[in-house]
Amino acid sequence: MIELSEVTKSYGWGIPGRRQVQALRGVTFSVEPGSSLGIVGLNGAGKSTLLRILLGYVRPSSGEATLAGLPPRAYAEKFGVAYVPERVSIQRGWTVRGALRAYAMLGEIGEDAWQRVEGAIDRLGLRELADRKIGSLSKGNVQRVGIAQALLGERKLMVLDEPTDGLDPVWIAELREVVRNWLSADPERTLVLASHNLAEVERLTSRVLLLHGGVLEGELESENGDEPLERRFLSRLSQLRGARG
Amino acid sequence: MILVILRDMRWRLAFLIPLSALLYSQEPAFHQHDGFDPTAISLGPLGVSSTLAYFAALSMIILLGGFVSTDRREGYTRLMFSHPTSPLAYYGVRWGLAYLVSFVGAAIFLVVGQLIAWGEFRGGSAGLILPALTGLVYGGIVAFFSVVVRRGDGWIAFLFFLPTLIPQIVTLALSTASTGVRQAILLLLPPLGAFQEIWDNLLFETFAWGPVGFAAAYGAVFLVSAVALLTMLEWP
Repeated sequence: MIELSEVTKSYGWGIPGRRQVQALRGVTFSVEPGSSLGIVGLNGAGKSTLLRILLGYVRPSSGEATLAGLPPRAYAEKFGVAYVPERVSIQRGWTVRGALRAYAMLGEIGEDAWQRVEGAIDRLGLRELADRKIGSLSKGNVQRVGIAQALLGERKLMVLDEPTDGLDPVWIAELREVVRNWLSADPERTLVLASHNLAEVERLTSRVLLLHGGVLEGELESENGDEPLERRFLSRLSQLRGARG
Repeated sequence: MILVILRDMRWRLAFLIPLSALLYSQEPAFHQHDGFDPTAISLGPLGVSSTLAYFAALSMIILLGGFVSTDRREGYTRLMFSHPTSPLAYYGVRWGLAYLVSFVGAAIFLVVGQLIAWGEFRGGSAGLILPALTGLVYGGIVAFFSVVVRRGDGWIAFLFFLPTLIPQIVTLALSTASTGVRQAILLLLPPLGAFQEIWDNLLFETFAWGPVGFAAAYGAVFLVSAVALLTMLEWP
């Protein structure tokens, strides 16, 4: 499903006087259809850049990224991606229902689009807010609208970037169920989740990669099978810091 | 997609009504009873085409101002283009709709304006070439700047439009510039000379192909540049 080969991403274009930032360096990995991948790392590790490459929003400076054999942008334009970004931005004047209908129309979802919109409203507990304007909602409620729009289409790939950001514990648990149901509805569905919420990453994904300073530092595998992800993460991080002096 | 765009543009579309009323009130040929501009009245329905050109230009600026830059700046594109939608198709359809609205609006203005002012339609449809061209020119300008800058593209396009209303601005601004600089800046500014030549020819019922081609090419250069940049853009 996902193939990344020696992907590097730099920002700043090397303009004299402007510092060039290398967000990703030689990242290589692949994800099989039907699997779930977690990506963890500190702030600025390159997680969001990596996800934006998967959406085709940014292009690698070098290396190659493909989704189902297509360049990511071509894939997204053809099939769509169930995507929840770190910061959900929706036109403030749109109502919740109006926003979801707009995304449904953009997604060419089909004859049952309105039903799907109402289903997503119910699934994310947005019924009472359906006619409220986005600008009047709390961050957590906007996040739920962001999750709802990701459920509208029949997508094969879900990409979540800090999806629990702003959600209360009840909705964090609900989100877990939503994602599990989404995955179980089709064995070909693939999930990529980047988050600081290591407990959620551990619960939702079968494989976890560590990004550190734009470099993929491999998988966070458990040696004895039951070591919590947080411990593995901190332990690997201290090794890396020690190795880099 | 078209429904989404129309819904997003509804307030801008509504703003075209007061714009039409303002331009109607300023068109001398529609106020014969006042008799304050006999020249304009003598030009007949084709004389109205310069007002139609203003309408189309301002419509494009109103309908398209910030159409790419706001979406990018506010991050709306993150969700929009995760659905199976191409940015080029989305913004292309939006531009095309705006152009259609500005042109059809100009045609309606021509007919309805005459019916209200004169009680009958006396013609002048050949004059629609001017709004077709100004729509392309100012639509191209606003598209280009909407892709290039983070905000203020509508105002930049309006600055480009100001010399159309007040040509003395250009004369005054370039009075101290050298010939080379003046020529370079005049080449960058909207083709007012070509518009004037087209209008003059229309009044004599002839068609100035050269100026039409020049004005169309001017708008097309901005538009094609906007398209090229849009395909190369990275999205926030």
